[in-house]
Amino acid sequence: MKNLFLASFLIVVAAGCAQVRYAETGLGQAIDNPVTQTYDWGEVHCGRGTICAEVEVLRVDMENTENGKVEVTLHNRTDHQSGLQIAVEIRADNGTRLDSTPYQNVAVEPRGETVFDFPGIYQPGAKVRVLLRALAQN
Amino acid sequence: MTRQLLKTFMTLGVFALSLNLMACATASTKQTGTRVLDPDADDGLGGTGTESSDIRTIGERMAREILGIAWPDSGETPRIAVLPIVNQTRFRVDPKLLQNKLLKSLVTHAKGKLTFLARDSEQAIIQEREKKRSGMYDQGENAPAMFGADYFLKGEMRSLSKSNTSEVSDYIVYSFQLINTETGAILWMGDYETKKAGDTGVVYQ
Repeated sequence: MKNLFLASFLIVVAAGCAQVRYAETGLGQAIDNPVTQTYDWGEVHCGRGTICAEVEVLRVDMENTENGKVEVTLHNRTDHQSGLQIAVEIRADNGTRLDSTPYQNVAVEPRGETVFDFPGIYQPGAKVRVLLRALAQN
Repeated sequence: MTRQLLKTFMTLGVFALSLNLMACATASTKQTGTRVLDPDADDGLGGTGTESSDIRTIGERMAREILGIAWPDSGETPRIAVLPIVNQTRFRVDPKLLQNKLLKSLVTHAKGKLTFLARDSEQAIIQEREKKRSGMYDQGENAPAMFGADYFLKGEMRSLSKSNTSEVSDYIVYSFQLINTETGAILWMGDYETKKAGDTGVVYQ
């Protein structure tokens, strides 16, 4: 009987850690969940939903040519100056990533709008994926 | 007997839970000590000068803008020599860092539409050519002339700085020009600006 308890104990120790971590990270995701908003032109993804709640992508315009420009209009919904990082991915219909930019710093005035452009990246017919993240990663 | 077993089981359960938490604390992706960062990420050290994300952004943006230019139709692939970038800001930033990043992005995205000249390595190239022609190395007979540049790509970093006793503000402009080497005409000009305010005392090395 004691051996059975000991075996159960070892199994719990071996298998439990990942489950505890899953629970912890799951809770974190539930509190500040990632958000993906889907549009005709593509999608907006925020690793932390609070970023999307504070700064919204008002519109995305694309020059429908090879290596065309992508313009992203951001709106700061808060009363404080927002600093964030933005990147763009160009994806084919099947989801394959065709091109991407590094993350770039952008500031948006309180309740203000700003247009951020990405030259030479668009490909006709492709989808745009806008990625937003906090300037400082905690 | 049953009560004893139950007590043992509960003790082991609590012990297992404690061990789990300890194990979870040690086997984690959370970084302590030296942190490995995404080159675009903020390092949290503050500072109002050039950051790694600025270097990466400038290289990428300028390269894409240059490749989108309506090039004069001469029938030949335009040749561009990148001149050393001049740093006129108060920050000690190696301009070659920006130059290399820009050139890398240009070469990656150009895909043969433009030719870039390695003027930085000109001395080494001349020495190699001389050794080939003297017969020390082979392939000296049919070596073509070195390429002349159709355009110079010139870059500058300039800044406007303000400070009081506790805070500092820096506006930095990185500007680039493509200049026709025959006529001096500016074919294209692009720039990238940053304005940052923060605490004094951050040292750039």
